[in-house]
Amino acid sequence: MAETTSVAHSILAPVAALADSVSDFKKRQKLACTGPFENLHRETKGVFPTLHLIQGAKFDVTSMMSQNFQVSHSFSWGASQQPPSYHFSAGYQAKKYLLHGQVDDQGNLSARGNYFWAYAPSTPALPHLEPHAHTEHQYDPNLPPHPTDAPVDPATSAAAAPAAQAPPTPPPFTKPSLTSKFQAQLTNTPGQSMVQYEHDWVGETCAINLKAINPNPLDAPAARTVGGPSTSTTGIFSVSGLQSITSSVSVGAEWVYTRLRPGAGESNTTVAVKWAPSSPGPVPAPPSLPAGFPSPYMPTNPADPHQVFAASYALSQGVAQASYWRRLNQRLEVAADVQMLITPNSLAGGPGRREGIASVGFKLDTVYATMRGMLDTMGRVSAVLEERMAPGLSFQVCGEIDYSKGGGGVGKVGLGFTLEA
Amino acid sequence: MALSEENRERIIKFFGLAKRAFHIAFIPAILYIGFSTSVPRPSLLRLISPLAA
Repeated sequence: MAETTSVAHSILAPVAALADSVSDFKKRQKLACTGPFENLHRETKGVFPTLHLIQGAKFDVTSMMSQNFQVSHSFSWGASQQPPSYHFSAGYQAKKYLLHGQVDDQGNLSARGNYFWAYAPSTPALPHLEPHAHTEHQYDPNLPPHPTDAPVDPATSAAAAPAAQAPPTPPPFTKPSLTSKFQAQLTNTPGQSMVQYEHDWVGETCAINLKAINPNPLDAPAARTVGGPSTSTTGIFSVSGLQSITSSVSVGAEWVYTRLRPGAGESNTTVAVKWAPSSPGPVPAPPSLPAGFPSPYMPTNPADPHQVFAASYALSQGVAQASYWRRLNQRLEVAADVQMLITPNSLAGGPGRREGIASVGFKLDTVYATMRGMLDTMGRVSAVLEERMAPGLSFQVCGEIDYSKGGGGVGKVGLGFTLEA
Repeated sequence: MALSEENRERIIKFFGLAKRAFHIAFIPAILYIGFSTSVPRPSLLRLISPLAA
């Protein structure tokens, strides 16, 4: 008995010592938590109005039945490409799991379920009104400063007011997490449904993500042979990972294997690099604010980077994307993005192509509103203005003009109301 | 593992039924979990009108 334990100890002790030295190395290098691979270009997506554009009119009503449960109705009409539609969505969030479903008037269901094994995710998973200084801290510039117990003395009250009103620091933007996700888009038309299973691990310095879309391990094989396999697997499978190599730089890759018909499979690889220098300190206040004034804007974690540059290149398709995001002060963020398609001359594919789109945009948060604007090399200008008119009532107007199309440009306008009750 | 045509048909039919059941029952299941675990228990009218008490 004693000999077996000492043998086990002599095998395990060097392994434990190696693990300790690796984690010491990581701490000395101060490697940063990278976040998952699909969040590479995430900051620029938050700045550009592309995801927030609506066409026509949209009216959203959200009921927060409790802290974990919310139900929302959404009506939209007036879009030229889409008929008027109604969407109903319900979401439930518990500590360990999350369920969200959205059904529209045609009966198409979009379902999502996440299970958090060990850590909670860092980004909010349920779509809801963005928390903002106005709704969180009830700051009103017309009100006198927060009353303190000490007698009102201009020097001490100005010093005490920032401490009394300082909001809590939010958690860092990227945090370790382990999540299993399930997503389904089910339609009534046969053959148009999609199911996706995903397992996402974000560690202290690296991240690995496994994804399977429409996996079918029981599909009929291409050529039926006697004694051969009677099943073959079809689906789209992907593995992606991101590892930080210094405190600012991380590199990653994604490998996607697509096999939609048995026997015909192709694989695509994408490599990526991300530079996110650790920030020298908290985000500066905007210059329009008087010195010493408590800031009404949403606080950010001082450890989050102020600028992020990410570049990714898909080797087989020749698509390269590079994006740069910078937070200038507590209310202004700017971003630039370039997407290029570079293919060589080939006999099968025809002459090589070299095309690109560059876009530049900004996001400005004021106390009551958020404004996003973007300018494109395809001749598109778009902007979104979202204004919080009262706690729970938000108004959104957006416009886009495409100057490259003839006749002075083609425009789209959208108007939206969101009510939270 | 050998999978005969008959078994494959049965499995395909089963998954077709399971998909239909999931399609119909997912949102009612979320609503049931939400309503039964919310404290205070919200009234069913709040499902349609958020302004109900």
